[in-house]
Amino acid sequence: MSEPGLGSANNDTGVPSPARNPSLSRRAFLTLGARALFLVGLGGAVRLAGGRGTVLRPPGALPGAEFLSSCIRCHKCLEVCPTGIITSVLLTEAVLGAGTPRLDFTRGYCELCMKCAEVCTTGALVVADAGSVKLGIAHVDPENCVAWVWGGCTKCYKACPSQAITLDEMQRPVVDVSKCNGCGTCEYVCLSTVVRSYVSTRGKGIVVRPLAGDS
Amino acid sequence: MKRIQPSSGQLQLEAHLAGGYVIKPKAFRICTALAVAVAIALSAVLKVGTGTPCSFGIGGISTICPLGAAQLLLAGRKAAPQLLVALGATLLGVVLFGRLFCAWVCPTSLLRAVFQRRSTARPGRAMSATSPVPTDAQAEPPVTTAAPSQPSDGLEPWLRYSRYALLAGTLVASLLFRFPVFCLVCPVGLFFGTVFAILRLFQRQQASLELLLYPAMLAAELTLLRDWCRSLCPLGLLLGAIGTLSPVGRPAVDKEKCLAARGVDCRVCQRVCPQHIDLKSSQGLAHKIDCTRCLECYDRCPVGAIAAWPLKAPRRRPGRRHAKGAITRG
Repeated sequence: MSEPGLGSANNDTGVPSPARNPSLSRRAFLTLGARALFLVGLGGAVRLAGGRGTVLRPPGALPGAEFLSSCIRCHKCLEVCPTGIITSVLLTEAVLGAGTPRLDFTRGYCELCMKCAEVCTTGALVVADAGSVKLGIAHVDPENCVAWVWGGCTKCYKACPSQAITLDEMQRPVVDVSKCNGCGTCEYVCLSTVVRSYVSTRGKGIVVRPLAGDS
Repeated sequence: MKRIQPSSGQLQLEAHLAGGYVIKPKAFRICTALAVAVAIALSAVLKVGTGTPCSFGIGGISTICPLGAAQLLLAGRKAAPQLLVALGATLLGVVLFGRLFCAWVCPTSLLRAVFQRRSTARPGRAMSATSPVPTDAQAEPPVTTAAPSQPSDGLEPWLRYSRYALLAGTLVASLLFRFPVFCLVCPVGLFFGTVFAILRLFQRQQASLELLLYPAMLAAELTLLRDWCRSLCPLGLLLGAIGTLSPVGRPAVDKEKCLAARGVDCRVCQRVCPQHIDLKSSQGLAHKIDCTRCLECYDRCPVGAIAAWPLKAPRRRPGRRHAKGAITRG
């Protein structure tokens, strides 16, 4: 948006008045209309561009689109998280959700303390019962999982606080979808990025993915 | 006809408060806005969780950006009770303090004050440089008070309706696309977005696009849209409209003390005002919406004719101009 017609009308006439000058009033109308439409256009463009992908939200988050229309992007939840696992969605990840909270289990896991939901001013995060809340579901990636590729690792099986991981006949981890609450402990303790760093840099052998419908 | 250049008057923050220090309101404003920004960054590092001005608070007591709240209400088409409570607390504050936020907290005015300092380092000189009033004032015919005041910034008056257009656009866009659209370009959000991008860089060793894009957008808004605060900002408009009757810090001219009563065409208060408010003409509602309580007029009035409740008009020695740069530091 530029400043149109800066000083063009009031150089010699003193006080310009849209009422006195029909061309000016038309210009005023068009300019003001363009400025209002700029934001509508921006909103539409971002809505079209930024709806892809799913995001792992903090506990008690409203589902998908409802979260986007409720979060004011104030970063309070991010600040209070004691394990520091809440980070913000980046512009490069989703323009529409830029600045909204996202979980990142590389430096910790969710203790379901609900502090993030307690500080939320807008009700985008609602304090939920720690026993029943579900952040997402862990998925084993056979290409990265040490137990699948080499065998011998039972890190996530031992760490899971919900006993949602069992071992199959080959001693490989299997996630019980009904028991897993997506707390991210398994992803946090997974060693694949460390012990397989010379072989592969693809990522963790077990990753928490958002429930379907979370955007 | 005598014209008075703005004097560098002083705001005496009652000596017992600061132990003889004399602080200019502008410096005080910069310090306040800076302190808020630093406090918010510190709160993020120390996990206090005050949030940003988008929603600021400690524990159960929170404020919420009224424009953000309006957008969420339209986007979500529902109202969470905690949002309404925060909005109520905020509205109460705005009813009392009006647009005080604009001059004292908003990072836009902080950045303006810091980065435009070089060009306006000396108030006296800067005024004659930026003022549209010709410097050869003696040669000009006397201006009668009845003459309509010319736009002192060279902008056409109707451009000031842009903020109404932006506010309408913001609300319609949020209603249609169901997310807070203005927050994408809000300078307050961009500023604190930059702060959090910097924190991410150090805390998570994560360099993001925000680190470059947000400051660039902010710089573009501050340089290309110079009239942002006065003509464009829908948040300022909303705060001003809600705080139309707010009593705190509103400048009031003592008509008997004012130089206009002695027939002097002094326009210092209007020229030092970032919003170009003409206190002497009764512009009514428009001026009430615009005032950001920056106290520049209060500070610079050569005869101390302007009070800003609860601050009484500063005492000025009659008939004596204040020495330039007479800032005494205790």
